[in-house]
Amino acid sequence: MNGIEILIDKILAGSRLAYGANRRDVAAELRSHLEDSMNEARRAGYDDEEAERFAVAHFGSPELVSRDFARVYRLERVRFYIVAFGLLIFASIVAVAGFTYLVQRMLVTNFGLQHRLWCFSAKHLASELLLVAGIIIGYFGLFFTKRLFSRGPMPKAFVVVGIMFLLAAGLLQFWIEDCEPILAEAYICAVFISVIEMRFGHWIAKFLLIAAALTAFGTLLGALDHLTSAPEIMVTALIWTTIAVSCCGVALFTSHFDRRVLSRRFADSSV
Amino acid sequence: MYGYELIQEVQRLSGQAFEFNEGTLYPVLHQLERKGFLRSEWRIAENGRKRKYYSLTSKGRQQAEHEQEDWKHFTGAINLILTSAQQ
Repeated sequence: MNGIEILIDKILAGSRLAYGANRRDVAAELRSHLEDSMNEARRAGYDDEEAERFAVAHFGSPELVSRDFARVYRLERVRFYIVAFGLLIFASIVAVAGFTYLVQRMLVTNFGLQHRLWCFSAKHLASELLLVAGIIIGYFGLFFTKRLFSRGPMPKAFVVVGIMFLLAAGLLQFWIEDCEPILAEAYICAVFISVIEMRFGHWIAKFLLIAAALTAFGTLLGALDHLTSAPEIMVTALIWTTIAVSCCGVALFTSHFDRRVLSRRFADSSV
Repeated sequence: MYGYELIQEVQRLSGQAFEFNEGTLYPVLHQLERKGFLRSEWRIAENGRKRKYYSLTSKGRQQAEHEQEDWKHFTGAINLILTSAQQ
């Protein structure tokens, strides 16, 4: 790669332009300018290498230029960020809730718990959906909120997201009965997932620990909720394992998406 | 005008008084375009190369006139101060 392409790459990386069209437009415009500058240097008697150095030197600091571009395209970047993660959250909720529902149907049938079919009532399914949505929104909330703080990001994120959950519980109680304990459970699960994801590097360790933590937590809640027979406790544990494993998949996909797709566009914490 | 031409023109008209980092012009042009003061289009130049040309919109022309007026007032005021100080 020549000096001009390196310069353009540096500027694009620092500019954090959200859309490919903008990136291509800026790259083409800067390339055109630098070629004009090189041609001028050649006319003045420089050879190709010197002309390239001349063009790069006259262009100025790539950090300065990319910082200015980042400022110009800030609003688009924020819009992209919100839309991208809004879609990701929605898709995650649908995927986790759908997967959990299928596993739950299968388990109830296979364990001979047909008398527990009330768990497929609209009310119960709504509370399960609220739980899954709460876990995923809580996880994403912590994922983004911690980036807003340079000092003590996780404790601050826990407080901010916790307050948001309290507010949500206050609002939702008018429409959904007993939403407070469900949101509290969801928040605790989101904290589990975030802490394990942050503390452990290897994905197998993350998977196992998240599955173990959420299964233990969910089974404990089930036992406190007067589940007595072994099959019922077993099914509850397996459903929570399903939720945990699928949430783990969401967490892994999110960190991959963030690293591969968004890190070029949102290189630092200031959106 | 395209960016490089604009820089050359500014330097020529100012008698090479302005020396600035050329790259810093482009974010400014993009900002002005987003505010509706400029419009841009890609054209193929005579040598076959693509270049992005900028032109003032009517809103941009009005803003430029307004800025010129402000600048005249400002420099007039500074000149008055300097003239008074010399007397």
